[in-house]
Amino acid sequence: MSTASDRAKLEHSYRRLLRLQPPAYRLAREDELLGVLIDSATPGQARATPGETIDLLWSAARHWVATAFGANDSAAVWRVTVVTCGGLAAWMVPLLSSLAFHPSRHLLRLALWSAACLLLVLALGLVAARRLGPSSWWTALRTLTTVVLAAFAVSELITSIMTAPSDGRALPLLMFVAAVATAMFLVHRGSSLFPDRVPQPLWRDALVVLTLGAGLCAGSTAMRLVATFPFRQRLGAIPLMLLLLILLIATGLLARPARIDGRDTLLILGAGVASGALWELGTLGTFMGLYLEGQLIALAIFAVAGTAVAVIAGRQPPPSPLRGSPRMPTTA
Amino acid sequence: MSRSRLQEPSFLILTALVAAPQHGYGILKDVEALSKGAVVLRVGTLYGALDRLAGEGLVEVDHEQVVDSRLRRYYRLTDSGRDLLHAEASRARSQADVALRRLKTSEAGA
Repeated sequence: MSTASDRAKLEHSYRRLLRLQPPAYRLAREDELLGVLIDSATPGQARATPGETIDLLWSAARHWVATAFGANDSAAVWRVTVVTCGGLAAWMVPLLSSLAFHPSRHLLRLALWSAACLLLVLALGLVAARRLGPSSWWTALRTLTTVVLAAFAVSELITSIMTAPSDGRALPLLMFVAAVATAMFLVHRGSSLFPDRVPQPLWRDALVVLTLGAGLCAGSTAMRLVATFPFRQRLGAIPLMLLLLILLIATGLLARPARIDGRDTLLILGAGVASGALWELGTLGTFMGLYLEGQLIALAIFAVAGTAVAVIAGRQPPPSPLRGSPRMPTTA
Repeated sequence: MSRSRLQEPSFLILTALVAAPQHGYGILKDVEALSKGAVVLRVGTLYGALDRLAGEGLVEVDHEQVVDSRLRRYYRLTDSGRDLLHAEASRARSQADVALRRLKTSEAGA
């Protein structure tokens, strides 16, 4: 049996959680949601259950993100999340594998930090991929894997171009080919990244993969070049960056029938820049003092610029308002 | 861009609204009953789906009521919501028919 005190506590508990929603959403929905929550509560319940708390926290996070993106639950929000998470994961996996060969207390901390981040971004990316379409978890996994492989492939290609031959990295080109082939196969088999995509010839799928990867890598590479390389080398890298941008735009336009249009290309580019900046931020503490000059400023500029590009590209007209809503208050 | 297919919760929410307009709690209970307890929606999830469906013009607010000092907003299916649900249900039935026919043929041949 619920006492008045229990009910007051319950209502207070729900109201506290609903206060986390964006103001506009609270104004439109708080009373309605509170009523449904109280109706759904079990007799004697005096506070929100852990399940309800997680659900309402997730709902609030989703609405804040949707508010920031100017769209309500649009596919663009999920798509940019998948691409950002996939890009971050593509940068973390090689670092983790290299750390495995250099066990030391200092690097172990970095490895643990990276592993925890990797698991987090993979989980978030998987959830976002699942929300993109009415797909299964298996399709969502395929989608995320496609993005990770595409980003990894292009990043290996760039690394092989930029690394001196004396570095001894003989494998990047082989890894690039393997990663592109696998990502192409996954795109060809269908993923939920572009739900209404119709099957395309293999060469078009290669363009899809390269566009995804180039978008992610152009952002991160630009970030690294500006932040970490001496000024003279930075100037030398400008032609490479121009080439990357031309490749990005050309592939985006060529692959248009495969549902990568200009908006998606911008979105991927923005997500790439933001994810590159985020990743640099994660490892900044470890390499502090090495290339500190200008790095913090570059981080801030790139993170903001990348997010802005993704937000502008992902912006859609606001959903049509709820129609036919005559207020007919009656007291039962 | 063409519309993507309905996810199971959205399909069940639209189904719950076929007979008559319902408020949030009514939809929650109906979805649970329709799926025989397999789909139990949380409140945040329900309203996320309702916002999305309303944004796509598949559901709309029918009327509002105040019951025991609490606001109840009733939702109804729009014509395009009804059309989409019909198309999705027909597609699911035709796929199920094919699967059952093949299973029957395979069992008869075994």
